[in-house]
Amino acid sequence: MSIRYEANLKTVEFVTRKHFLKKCVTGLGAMALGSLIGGCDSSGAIQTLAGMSASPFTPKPPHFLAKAKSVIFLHMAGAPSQLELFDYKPELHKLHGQDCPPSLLDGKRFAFIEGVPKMLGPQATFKKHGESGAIVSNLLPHFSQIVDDVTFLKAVQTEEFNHAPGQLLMQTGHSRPGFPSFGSWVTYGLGSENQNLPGFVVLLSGANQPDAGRSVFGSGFLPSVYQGVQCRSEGDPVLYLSNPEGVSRNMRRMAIDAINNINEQQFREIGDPEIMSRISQYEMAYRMQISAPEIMDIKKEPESIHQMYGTTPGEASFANNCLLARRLVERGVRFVQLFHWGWDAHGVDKSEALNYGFLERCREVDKPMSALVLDLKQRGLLDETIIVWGGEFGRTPMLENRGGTDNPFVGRDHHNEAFTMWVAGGGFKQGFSYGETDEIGYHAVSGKVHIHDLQATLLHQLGMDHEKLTYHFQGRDFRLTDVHGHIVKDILA
Amino acid sequence: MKSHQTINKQKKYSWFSFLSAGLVLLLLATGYFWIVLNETGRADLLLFFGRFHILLVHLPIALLLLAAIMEIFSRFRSFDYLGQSVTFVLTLAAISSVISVLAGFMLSTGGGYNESLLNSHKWWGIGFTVFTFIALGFKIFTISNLKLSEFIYSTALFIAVVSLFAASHFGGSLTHGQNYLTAYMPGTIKNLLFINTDEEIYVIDNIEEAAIFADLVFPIFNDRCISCHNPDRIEGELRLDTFDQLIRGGESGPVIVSSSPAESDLFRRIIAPRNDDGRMPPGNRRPLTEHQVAIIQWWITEGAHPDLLVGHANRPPEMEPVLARLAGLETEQTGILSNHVEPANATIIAGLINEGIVITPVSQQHNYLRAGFVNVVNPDPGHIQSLHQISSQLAWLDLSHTPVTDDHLLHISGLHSLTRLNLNYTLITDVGIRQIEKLENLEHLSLAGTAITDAALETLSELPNLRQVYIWQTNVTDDGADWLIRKNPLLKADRGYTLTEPDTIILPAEAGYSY
Repeated sequence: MSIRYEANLKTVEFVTRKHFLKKCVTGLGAMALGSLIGGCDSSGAIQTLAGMSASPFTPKPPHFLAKAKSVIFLHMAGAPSQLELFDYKPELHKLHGQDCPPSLLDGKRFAFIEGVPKMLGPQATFKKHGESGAIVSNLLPHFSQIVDDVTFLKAVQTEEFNHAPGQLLMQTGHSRPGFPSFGSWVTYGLGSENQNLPGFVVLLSGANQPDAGRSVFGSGFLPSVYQGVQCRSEGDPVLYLSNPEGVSRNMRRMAIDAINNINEQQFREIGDPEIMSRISQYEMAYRMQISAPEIMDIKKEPESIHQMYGTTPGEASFANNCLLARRLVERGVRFVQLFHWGWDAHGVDKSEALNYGFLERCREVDKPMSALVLDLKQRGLLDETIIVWGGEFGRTPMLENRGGTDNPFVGRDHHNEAFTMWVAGGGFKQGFSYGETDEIGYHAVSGKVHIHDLQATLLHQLGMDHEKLTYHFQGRDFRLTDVHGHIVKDILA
Repeated sequence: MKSHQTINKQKKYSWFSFLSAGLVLLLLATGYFWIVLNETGRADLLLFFGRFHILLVHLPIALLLLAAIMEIFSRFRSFDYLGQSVTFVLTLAAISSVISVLAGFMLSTGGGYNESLLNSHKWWGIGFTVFTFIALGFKIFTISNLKLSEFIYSTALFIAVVSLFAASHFGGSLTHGQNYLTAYMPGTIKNLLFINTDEEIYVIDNIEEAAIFADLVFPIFNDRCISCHNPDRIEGELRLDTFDQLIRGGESGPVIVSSSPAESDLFRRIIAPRNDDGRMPPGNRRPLTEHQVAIIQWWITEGAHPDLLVGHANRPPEMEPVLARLAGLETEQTGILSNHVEPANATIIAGLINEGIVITPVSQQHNYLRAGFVNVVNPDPGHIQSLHQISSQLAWLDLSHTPVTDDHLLHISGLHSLTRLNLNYTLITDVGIRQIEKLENLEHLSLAGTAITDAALETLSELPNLRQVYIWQTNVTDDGADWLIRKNPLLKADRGYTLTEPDTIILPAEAGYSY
């Protein structure tokens, strides 16, 4: 042992906790002052009634009278083509196969198109449906039957033309990761009624996870209890929810009691409210061990419902997730987020081609999403639930020519200037279409709705002012709509 | 007898001439006084006397009503002695009404009142005085036909009373604002009286494209300021009828300091306290509303520009509710939620929450509550009974997917404020449904997945405000549902939906074009 090492050791021994306190007397004081004057405010933005428990999911009243109390967001990850489903452009038929005029290409950037691509006519046939005369393609024969319950947004715009940033912008209002998702903001603002289930549930289907990963349902800088909880329709509904082998429910109870005791002791000493929300999360998890398997078990649904949705219990499918979404909303879950992956029809391979994979996706979603709207309607839940459907952007009227050469299959490139989404229920007009695109569906001509406008409008229907739903972080107030967002009044019933 | 009558008549003549002479003198004196004051530049003295109008005006009101009541009671034998005093009281009413009218004219020189309201008030007031005099005249003198003069007397007295109510109402509206009476009136009464409470709200269709000055600020000046600040009558040498005149300012210079409301005389005056001399609108006139003040403040802060658009200006958050109101974005409230209710007792709510019941206000702007039982494993009838403590506030109740039975529903009839009731997938039957017949405010009723039959429809058909009922997966027949709709055509009964399977399925590579 060298003398230097020994000296070091002696110094370390000499510096005791008292030294630390003595040296930090001003530092600690400043830290204490910071927390005293409320630097880190993690309490909800909306005041609760006196006597309410401190659970982060305690339901809170909206800013003003709400049209809807819950949301089911059907995110079509990969961005489906509006030109094959809703935005019918006969002019595009005539231009089919011709070179794209330079006026459409000047100053534009595309994800994959290079040089001069060819125009691509609609890859489906279209017909008017319902009393509203909404035009829907033959690829959505079930959805065509419910157009009178739906408001179409035909000219939605976004800034992003790549999947991950596009999905982030749609779900968090920002194109970079690190911001709270829509469901987090909503549960932060309104809490959730069912105290045995998470307020924000995420259900995934399709071959992959969303391109932007879990950030699209993360809580960002909001307290982590508000992040989306992913539930599954096969196996354990929530990962690690079952007790490990050899651990009984009693033992689990004892373990949680012990942890809670320690946490409560800590709370008495420090008084950080985050400790209480941690305790309530342990309790929630314990209750979920009973409630989640029950609610996620769709076997109990009658046969007629399974036929309506096209569900098969036990498999991971969009159909099962739609049915689950209804069950969750019915039992007081605030926000259910579905992602269905696989819409990215560039035409580079079969699974991502308008004439193959895209048709499969249409068949996977057509019946269940239509059934979801009708099922909520017949239960009297549609007027208090918002259903939103759409991808993170749209597709080009041009045939994609990746690297300047023809792709082996038919496909379209990413397009952010105009695409179609639809909303149903929750105080939106029924059988209505808002916005128009030009004759080839390239630019929005009227009724533009930016992603932030959509978010502001959805929050408005939930009774919240998107400019008041804020969280103070790193020196400023943040919102879902950042500094943007106008309510689209014309689509409100 | 005859001589006695003659003496009586002479007495009457002398008394009435005395009264008339007095009033003529009063009118002449007032006219003279008026001219002198105007010429000597002491118009403020007119206002000094004018302000007594508010005080004096109550005398003729009380006196005329008293005269009318005495007249009615004098027809009964036990009160017949009242008949002798009616003339005296009526005379006092007539005198005081003339003085009130004169004072009223003086007060109106101060300006700043809503012109059409002021006109109505003025003419009803004058009518009141005129008919009081007619009544008094026919009370004192009887023309040859005794019955006819009696009839004219009672008619004139009746018209005077009606004019009195009208004049007082318009006068009240002048000082307290037009919707003072109706602000807290229950919605049902408003509907009965066809009162439209939105009369003062105007909606701007495209708020983003609206000019702040022309569309938001000027209408306020036009409504509240221009009656004293116009080309014909330029109080304080200030005109507010055009933008240029406004910027030019008044006798003490410019009234708007661009970007600085605090230094702008106009803004300082509209927010000055009621007892401040410089306050505008002056005196006891209604101050500008909070929203109007906010709009003017915002416009000045943004540079007091003549044609800046709403969409191009910076918007502080406090402007949003103001703009939302102008844009017609405020969520409209119908039915019981538009009525005011006192907040429920916090201790009671805390107690109910401890039982596991989810209770929240329907919004931060309401005292009405919603309650849900999603966290109550096995609600017992006592739970429903305990909700009676908040029965005035409880508007929405969700009992769906709970084992609630007819026993629970025994307690539901007391929850009289309910507008939405969700009983989906509960164990209730036709017997329990009868309990909801007293829920007069119910608009929205969900009964999907229950065992109810056509026998329940009688009760449903009698709920006056019911607009939507869900009877999917029940034992209600198609005929029953049709009967219900015929009985209440405003009601929608939802019986469920099915999707039709398509004839053809589009298979890969068969759709439309391919390359």
